[in-house]
Amino acid sequence: MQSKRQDHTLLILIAAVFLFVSPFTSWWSTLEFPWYAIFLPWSLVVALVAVNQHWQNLDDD
Amino acid sequence: MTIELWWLFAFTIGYLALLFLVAWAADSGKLPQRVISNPIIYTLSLGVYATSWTYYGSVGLAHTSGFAFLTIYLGVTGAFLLGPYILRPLLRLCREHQLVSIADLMAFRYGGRGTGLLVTIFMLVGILPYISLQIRAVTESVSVLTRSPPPGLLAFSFSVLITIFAVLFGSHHLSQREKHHGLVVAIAFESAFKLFALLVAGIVVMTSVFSSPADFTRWSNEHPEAVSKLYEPMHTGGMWPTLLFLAFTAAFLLPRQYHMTFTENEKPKHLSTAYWLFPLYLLLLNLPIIPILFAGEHLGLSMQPDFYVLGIMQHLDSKALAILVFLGGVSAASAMMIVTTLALSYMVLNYVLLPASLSGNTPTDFYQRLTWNKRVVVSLIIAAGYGFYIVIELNEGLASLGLISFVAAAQLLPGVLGLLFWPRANRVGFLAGLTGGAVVWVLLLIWPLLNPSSTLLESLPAHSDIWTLATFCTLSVNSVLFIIGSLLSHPTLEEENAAQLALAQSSFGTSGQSVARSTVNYRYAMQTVLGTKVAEDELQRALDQTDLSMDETRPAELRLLHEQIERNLTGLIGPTLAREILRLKRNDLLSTTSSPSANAPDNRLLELRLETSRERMKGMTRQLDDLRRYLREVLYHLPLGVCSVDDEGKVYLWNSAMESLTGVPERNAQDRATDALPDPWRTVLHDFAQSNEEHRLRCKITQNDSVMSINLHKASIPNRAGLRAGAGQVILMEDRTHLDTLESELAHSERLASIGRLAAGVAHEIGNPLTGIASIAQNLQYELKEEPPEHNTTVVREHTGDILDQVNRINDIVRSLLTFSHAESISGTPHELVKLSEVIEEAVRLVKLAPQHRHNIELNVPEETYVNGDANHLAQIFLNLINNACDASPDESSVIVTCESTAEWHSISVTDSGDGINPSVREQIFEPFFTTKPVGSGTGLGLSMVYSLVTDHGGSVRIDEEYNSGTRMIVQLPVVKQDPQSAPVQ
Repeated sequence: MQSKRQDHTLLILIAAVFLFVSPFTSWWSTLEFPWYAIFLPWSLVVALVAVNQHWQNLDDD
Repeated sequence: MTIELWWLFAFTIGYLALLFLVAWAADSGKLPQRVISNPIIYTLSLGVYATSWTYYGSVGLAHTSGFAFLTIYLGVTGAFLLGPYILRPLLRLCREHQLVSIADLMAFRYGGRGTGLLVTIFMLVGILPYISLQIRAVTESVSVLTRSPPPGLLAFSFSVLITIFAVLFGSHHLSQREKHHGLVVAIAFESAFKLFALLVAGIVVMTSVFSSPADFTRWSNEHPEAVSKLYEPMHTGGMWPTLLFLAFTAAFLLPRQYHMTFTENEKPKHLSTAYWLFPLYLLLLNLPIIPILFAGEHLGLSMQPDFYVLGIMQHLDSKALAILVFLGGVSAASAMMIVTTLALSYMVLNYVLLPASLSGNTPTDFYQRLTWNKRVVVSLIIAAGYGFYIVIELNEGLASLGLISFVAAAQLLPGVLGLLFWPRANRVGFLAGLTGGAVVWVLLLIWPLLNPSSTLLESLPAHSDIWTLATFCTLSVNSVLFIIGSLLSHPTLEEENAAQLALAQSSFGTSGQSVARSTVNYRYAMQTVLGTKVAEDELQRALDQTDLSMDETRPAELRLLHEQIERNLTGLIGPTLAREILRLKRNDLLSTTSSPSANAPDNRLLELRLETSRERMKGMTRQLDDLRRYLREVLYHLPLGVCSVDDEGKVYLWNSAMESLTGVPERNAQDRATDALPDPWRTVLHDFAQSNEEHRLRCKITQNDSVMSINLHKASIPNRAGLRAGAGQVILMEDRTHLDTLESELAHSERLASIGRLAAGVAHEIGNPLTGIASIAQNLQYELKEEPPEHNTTVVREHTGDILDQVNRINDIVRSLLTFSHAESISGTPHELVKLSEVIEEAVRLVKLAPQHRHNIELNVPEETYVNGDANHLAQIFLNLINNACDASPDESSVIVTCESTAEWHSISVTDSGDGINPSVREQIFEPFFTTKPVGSGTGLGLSMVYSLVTDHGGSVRIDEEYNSGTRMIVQLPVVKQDPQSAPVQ
């Protein structure tokens, strides 16, 4: 179960890299989104980490 | 709108006083523990990351570089996302080995004073621009609000103020290993305050500068160029990935972040909460930045964008909001300065001041000196930051100064990665890499700052931003030298051990044995450097933590103590000095030579460590440890004595049966050579271990005046377990003393049975001719009675009478033999409920039939006393005992029969008034054919028969050894448990 959570962590990391440091970042940043758009993927990453950590804590308990 | 300087100064002092009050409340227990030890407080304290650079400088950076300012926080999000792989192992190391600073961490892994010293100096130099940035941010914010150039004394006054609070916050704790609860809560308060101030500023901007959020959105829609300018760095590349990377490293390598994340961590679980809560905090902190920037542009403020937030509040003519925002900035700056100087002070103390000062005379009050040294160092660091602020013409933006420090902190990344993932990494590589990186850092970032006229940067490639270039160059040089240096040199044994610990390949300390003979060696080693009081305190602390006593002498336990002392001293004075104190040439307390003799203590040490680290085990490790403990318990409670010895004859395992058999406690046997055990076990075990025999049976051992009989078995332990256990032996010891007694009793019973069978046969064979002799003698006597007197047959009649008397006597003996032999085979007779008083009265009546018995027989047997048995056999028992008592007692004397009962037993005693039985023959009186009566008066079968009958009834018979006025025989018969349902046998 521990390794499963760590797998999820790596998946979230890959998603974060894909969103913020990749050619995809260059592409979506040109789409004339409103100013707050950048906070949405950031919030998504934070939420995913929180959920993953919540399950991790349940496993630990 | 302007605000008077003295107002701002007063509010600053008031705010810092409030902060001190919060810290005091936490330290003195006024705040509940659940608040202090809350993961939210811990996460907020990490908010020290957001300094005045974030608070003011983000708007300025957003103005020039768009969303590039967010990389400083997205990078941290990445670091915390990778927390399980990077932060968690570092936290584990930091907690286990009390590594209170980044210099401690590096010195722990790469060893030597040089490592810690280089890291300390580099961090000190690298962070000075960052400290000066805080001073500058506060002075310029004052300048904005007062609309006048900052007075010369302002920066100095602020520096002095922060120095006072830094000293008050951090240096009242005696040692670095103590948690600064007050500091953590105060920094958390500061983080919450600056978030509140920025969010309020954001809301005010939305509702007052713009009339509503919708109005703000409309404005941003009307200015698409402003929005697209924000996104520009994301698709033009440049500094975007560089800043992400720098922020990623700064998240745990900046001294203040290391301190709050690892040193002040109360529970490892709090870090798990911080993985998501801290990025969320940073996200919220950055939400108002763009509205503030747009509001500044909308209002057309003619000031540095860094301070738009203050300008907006001035524009709105709100003194209260302006002061709130100003205090938010003070909060951000003061938190950074206090924590950074505290973290740096530990490094300077451990690697600059203490090594120099401890080599002199023994200090009288080390703790006091430590405290004062820390205060002085804190003051000097802030003074250096102030000096940097004064000397340098600060034309750079706030963000630039912060990034210089970020690049400096990033130079530790190769070392940390080597620590976490590369066991070959060593001191030579680390020092070479860090030195190379530092030199390039100074050339590219510090030299141009000190010499604005320098043309060095002009020769660099065009179109490359300085941060990307500096990061690439410094880290490339650093990494290449680090790798080459590590590959060209070999790590020391100390580095190899540290690498194992860092890579979690081993959870425990360095290998090697403690060569200390006792705990006194450690006190001596410490007191020569730290003074007597500190040495005693530290020794006692380590003894308490390891649950050992002052008189401990076992090598494995002393090794555990060694580790604990080293760990504690590391928290106090850093790992380098701690190791040096315990390994001074004159009292090196650790032998690191690996020899087979180290095996047994190492295994015991391994067991001790497993016991103390059980709480940290999870999953399969925990299950394996459960299995280990179970097997250990099986061995320990085995009803056979088990001891294992190593190839040098030192005892490793000594189970409970060995303890009870030998009387030697486990504590006194473990780690001792078998020839050092107390006699007689020294001879027995040592000889057997040395011999080629695999079994030694029926060894007679005399211990405490009693003779034991033991069997010894042994087997060799092959060295294939993969442990450090070498070849040795396991010895089993079996106590057969009781078995020997049982065998002896069995042989005795067999002998008695044989005698019984022999007696029956003899009686039968003698009985028939004896009957014939008796008949002939009686016939002869009868015929002689018919003879006339003149035949003078008197003599013949007398002789015939004598023959009949002797025949009767032989007949008595034969009858006794038959009764005895019969008694040996009565065990199958069914038992019934018998009233004991009636049986004894019947026996007394029979005894009194004999004319020679003229004794006063007193009966004191309760009426309602029942036993299970055969009435005739019970009567036989008491007939024999009372008969013997009467024979032994003078005429007219008393024979007393009493019965007392307990819950389990009826004890019937028969007491005579004779001279007693000679103690030398007491053990023989129950043997067949043994009698103390004159020859011809007894057969020697009475008491033997009594013994057989009583035993058959589940009881016992014995002589009362304490009775001296005659003889007292005591018969014990078991009490009948159930109520008598049927009438007793009469």
